[in-house]
Formats: sequence, structure tokens, C-alpha cells
Amino acid sequence: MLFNSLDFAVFLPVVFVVYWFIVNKNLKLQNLFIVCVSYLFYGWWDWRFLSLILFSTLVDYAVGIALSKQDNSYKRKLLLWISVLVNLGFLGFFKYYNFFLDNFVAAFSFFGTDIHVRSLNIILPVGISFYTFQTLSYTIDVYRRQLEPTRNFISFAAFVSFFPQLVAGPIERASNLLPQFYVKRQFNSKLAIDGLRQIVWGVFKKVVIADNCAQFANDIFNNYTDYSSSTLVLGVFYFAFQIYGDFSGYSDIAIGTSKLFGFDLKQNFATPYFSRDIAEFWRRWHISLSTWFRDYVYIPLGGSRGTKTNQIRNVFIIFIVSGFWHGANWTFIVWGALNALYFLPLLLNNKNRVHTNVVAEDKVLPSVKELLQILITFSLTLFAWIFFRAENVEKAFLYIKRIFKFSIQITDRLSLERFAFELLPLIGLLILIEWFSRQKEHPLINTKYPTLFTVFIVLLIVLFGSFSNIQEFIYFQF
Amino acid sequence: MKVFFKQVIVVLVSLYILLVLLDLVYTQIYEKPIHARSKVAWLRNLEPNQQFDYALFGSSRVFFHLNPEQIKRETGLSGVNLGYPGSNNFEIKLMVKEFLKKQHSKKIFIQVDEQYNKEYSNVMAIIPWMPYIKEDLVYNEIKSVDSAAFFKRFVPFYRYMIYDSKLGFREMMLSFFKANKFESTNGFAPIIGQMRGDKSYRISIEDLKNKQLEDVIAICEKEKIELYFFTAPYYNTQFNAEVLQGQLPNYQDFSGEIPDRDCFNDFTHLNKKGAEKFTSLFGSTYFKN
Repeated sequence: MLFNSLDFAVFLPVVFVVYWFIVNKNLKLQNLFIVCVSYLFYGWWDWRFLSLILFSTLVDYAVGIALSKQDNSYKRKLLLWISVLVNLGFLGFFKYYNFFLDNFVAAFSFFGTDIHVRSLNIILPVGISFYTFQTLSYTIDVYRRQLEPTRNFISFAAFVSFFPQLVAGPIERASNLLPQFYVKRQFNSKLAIDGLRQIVWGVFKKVVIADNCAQFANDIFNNYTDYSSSTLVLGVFYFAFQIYGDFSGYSDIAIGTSKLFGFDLKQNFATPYFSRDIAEFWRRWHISLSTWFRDYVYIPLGGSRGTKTNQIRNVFIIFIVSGFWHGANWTFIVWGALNALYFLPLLLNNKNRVHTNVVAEDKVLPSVKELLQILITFSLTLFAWIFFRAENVEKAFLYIKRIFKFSIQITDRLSLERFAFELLPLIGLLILIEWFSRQKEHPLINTKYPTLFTVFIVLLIVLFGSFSNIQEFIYFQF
Repeated sequence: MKVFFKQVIVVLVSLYILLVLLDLVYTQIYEKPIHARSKVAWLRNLEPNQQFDYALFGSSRVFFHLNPEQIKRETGLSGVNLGYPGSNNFEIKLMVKEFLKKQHSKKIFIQVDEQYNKEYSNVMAIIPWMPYIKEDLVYNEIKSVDSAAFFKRFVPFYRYMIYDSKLGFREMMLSFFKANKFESTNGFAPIIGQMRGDKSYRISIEDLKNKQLEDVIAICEKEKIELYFFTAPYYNTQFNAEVLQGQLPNYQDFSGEIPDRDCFNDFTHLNKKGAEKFTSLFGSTYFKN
């Protein structure tokens, strides 16, 4: 079920009413209801893969309890590995099986040996990368004795399958979300109103910004050989705002929806395009994934401690693995490696934590230096997005090669007939609104006239939303 | 909870008011545009009570193929090209009805082709009618082929949202300052292009009556208008025109009349050169005796 679908527009109010008016008397009932509607939400897409979620839930629940009873470090490690192998096994099979197979065959053929192995027609279960990481974090935290394992299966099942963030995150930590299932939720008007406004803001980013940008970005990337350098740059620019609007919009809708049900999820995006360097960008983009990799991969590897060689190795591992998490394609690996290259100079010069506060804090405008830093970081990000978006690495390089022909052709994309003349001002408006709310979780919170502002955003959605070209959320495929 | 529901109601009521206002504004602009961007809007804004010698109806195979200005030069007769891309028999009927509301013509020509058996609306060709769905004539027709017609008529602004790429903000704004390409040519616009490839095609239609076209025949009989059907040229295509010969009055088959490859943009559409040739042929067939 898509957040931007009619199905969800019916599903959400019905679930809201039942949740607060019928099953609100009892915590168990509240949690059981959340499990049921979450499974319904997921099953709406493909009920067959519900068994995967259920199996993953059962394994991690059992491993958690077994870990709490086990003091033998060898056996504890074994239990942890069971959970890791089951979860990553599913992920590996559904997401990476064909990729490894194809590359294995290609490698053999490169060395002169032809082997014939048939690849499988595998459907990637929606959200598998997200809920797998969420349950894994639970087991790892329990293994590290940072979290008490739950003995309440319904609460744990609700934590794993919680519908607002099941298919595309934010990847919640058990330490934040699970305890919220232990207490009966009381309706909190302030939280719910805030959630409603955050949903409106998320829909704006998705339907107005992302889906409109998608039409142009898709056309330009799919037919890049027909276009001039100026148009190709415009194509990457559109893609940058497509993916930002799409994913941060999804996160806002997910977090807002959770607030309607009395839950508080972690912020997933914090105006990343205002970052002054790549390190700051990665602290502000897909925060739940970045912090997951930081806590469960980067720090255990040694992080920024140890020899320079180890530091460099760790940076490459974290970025390449993070890239690979997005999909079984070399483009994501190159995208990850490119970000590692951007990040490395900062780390080696101990400048990776220079910008931990928000840019131009408590000021209206940034300084010239800050503005330049933002523009440079954004340009580097744009360049990396080419690899993320391109069909394959070869096409990404060809796209870049055409950009460096420096041809300008106004008519191919900037002519009135074909160019969405309202789109660039809308992106400008998004930037402006986000700039003035960069110290807040979302722009519609704590404003002077929140209702009026919300209605204004609704007006923009109605006027400029792309309703005839509804796109699936990009991160569903990851 | 009360505070929350109050907030929801405020947003929903504001939304409803906005939708009603926007619907009024958009509909008014499409009713009286500075530049009519669609054939339907253009027809509705033609000077009323004109007496044409003929009117042409059909799809892109009329729009791109027959030039009333050329016919006027060659025969002295005045006509109008009311074909537009995607228009099927259903839209042709709507267009004929709309035309006869305010205009007069001695003869009506309708192009029929491989779409002959279709009785439902075309998803793209129906869109230009949407701003006018509140009119009973348009609504009653669309209702017969579109189960969502009720929502499109009664939910304010809904039709402009779901057809945003064709009727949304961009198109609405363009109607202020961007003329269409057929305004100065009485409805004709040529295709500039050259056919690639050289395949042969085969089109087969079923020997059945078409309800929409039967309605048009009845309308023309009632209004005492001479009605002609024809099939425009195809490239290298076998077409069972004898079916149409049996089903439609005054039918003429031009499907194989232009064999030159350089007259086509693709196998169903003539280019500018082909349109000139076909217009001459059409004029000499119907008007020079």
C-alpha cells in the first residue's frame, strides 16, 4: 500500500478511529491491533512475503530470549550469528543472489572459462533491507547487553512490523521504539496535530517536488544521448530533488503517521542539502541508516581510531557497504566509493566533525564562506547522484562525458513547450522554506500561523501535485 | 481529541473551499481562454453561427492530413478541420454534437480507420472535454463510457488534479500566452518528418455496426446534413475497407491512394508533403464537379 494512494487514504482514518476508539482500553489490544493492521498493510502489496517478516520476527525474538539466558560467550556469539545469518541470508538471497551469480560467471568468462548457471527470477520483497536491519539491531543490542530482551512477543512483532516505517524506514532502534510498545498510548492532541502537519509536508515533498522532478529526470537520464550538457546538468539537479523529496517525504509521512498513533520516531533527514561538507551531509541524510552503519559496522571495525591505513580501510568499507545496501548494482558501489573519496580528506585531516551544528545557526543568511561550502558540497553530491541514478556504470560515465562537452541548448529542455516552468520556482520555494526551518524537525512545527501555513501547503499540493504520474517511492526498491 | 478533530476539520473545510474556488477559476479560464489550447476549446470559442461548406472530424489522421486553407485556395469552399489526436468514434460524436450547437455545415466528413470497432472513449482524447463536464450534454455522454464521470463532475477540482499534466497549472497558464499551432490554419497542423523503416502492415476490422457512428448518422439525417465517411492513406497497408463500404453511407477508401514513402512520417501519418497531396486528392474527389 502506497502512502500516496487512495487505499492508504481510506486505511489510515479507519485504523486511526479503531485504534483510539475501540482498542484503546488495553495495551495488549493496542499492540495486537498494530500487528494486524501492519500485516494487512504489507500484505496489500504481496501477502506471500508476510511469512518472511514473521519468520524473522520469530528468530530474533527467540534469539533475544536465548541470549538473556546464556552467559557462555561462545554460545552467545553463536546465537548472534544465527540471527545475523538468517536475516542477512534472506537479504542476500532476495537482493544479491543474481548479482553475485552474474559477476561470478562474468569473472570466470574473463579468465577464459565459460560456465553456464541460470539466474533466478526473484522478486525483491518490499522493505526487506529496512526491517532486516531493524531486527538485527535488536539482536546486536541484546548481545552487547545494551538492551533487555523483550518477553512480550506481540510487542516485539509490533516493533518489527510497525506499518508506518515497515517498508522504507526510518530504521528504528529497538532502544527507542520497543519501549514505546510497553506502555499504553494515550491520545496526545499536540503530537497528533504535529503528525498531521508533518504528513502534509511529506506529501508536498513527494507529490509536488519528487514526482514532478521524476518526470524530467527520468526522461533526461533515459535519453541522455539526445540532450546537451546544460540539460544533463538539469537532469541531475532534478534527480537530486526527486530522491530527496521522495525519501525525506516518505520519512516525514512515516514519522507523522506514527505520531498519530502516539509514537515518536527518530528524525531521518535534517536539511542535508545545506551541509557544508560531506561528513555533515552524511550526518543529515538518511540518518537512521548512517547511524546504523556507524554503530554496527564502522565503530566495531575501529572507526577513526588506529593507523591511517585502518582508518582509510574503515571509511571505504562503510561507504561501499552502505552503497551496496541500496541495491545489487555496481553503480551503488561506485556511488559509495565516491562518497568515501569525498570523506577521506576530512577524516585524515581530523576535520570530519567540524560542522556538527546547523549552518548559520540563529542567523537569517549564511556567510559567503558557508554559502560556498554548501554549493561545493551540493555539487559533489550531484556528481555522485549520477552513478546512483544511472542504469549502469558505463552509462554513468557516458552521461558525465556528455556533460563535459559543455554544450548549451536552451530549446531541448528549457523551451516553454516542454519545460515545467513552475518546477524550478517550486524547488526554490522548498529550499526557502527548509532554510528558514532548518533548526526544526519540519517546517510546519512551531510556526507563527501553523494552520494557515498547513492550508497553504495543501493548496500547493492541490495546484502543483503530480497526480497523473504517481510514482512509487524510490526506496521501496531497496 | 477535540482539538485534533477541530484542526482536521479546519484543514478539510479550507481544502474544500480551495477546491471549489480553484474549480471555478480553472473552468472559467478553459471556457474563455485567451488561446484555446485544445481542439475542443477552440471549437467552443469559434465565432458562432458560421456557415461552413464542410467540416472534417476524426483523429490525428484528419488533424495532420487535411488543410482547409489549401482546399479553399483550390476550390473556393470554406471548411474547418476538427480532428485531433486520439479522437475515437465516441469523441467524434461529441465533437459533431458540440459543432452543431452553434455552427452550420452543408457536409460533414468523418475519417474511419482501424479504430472503427471502438465504441468507448480514448483515455487521452477525452481529457479536453473534462472542463465542460458540468454541462448536461457532455456529462450524459461521458457518463455512458466512464464510471468515474460522477466524481469528475461533482468533486470540485478533481478532474484538474487527475489530469494535471493535460489540464493542470502549466496548461492553464499556457492558455494565457501560448497560441496553439492550428489557430491560423482552420484546424490543420502538418507533421514535419520522414518515415523510417519499410515494413508492410495489415489491418483487419470486424464487420459490425458502431453505435457511436450510428448516432452520428442519425443526427446528420435529422439535421439534413450530407454525411461522408472516408479512410485516410496508410503506408503499405492491407485494409479490409469493404467492411466499411457495407456499413457506412457515402464511404470512400483512400487508404492505398498515396504509395510514396517520402510522403509519410510513419505508416499511419502523412507528413507535410503527403498532407498536401492528400488534401488535393480529397478536394478533387469531393468538391470539383
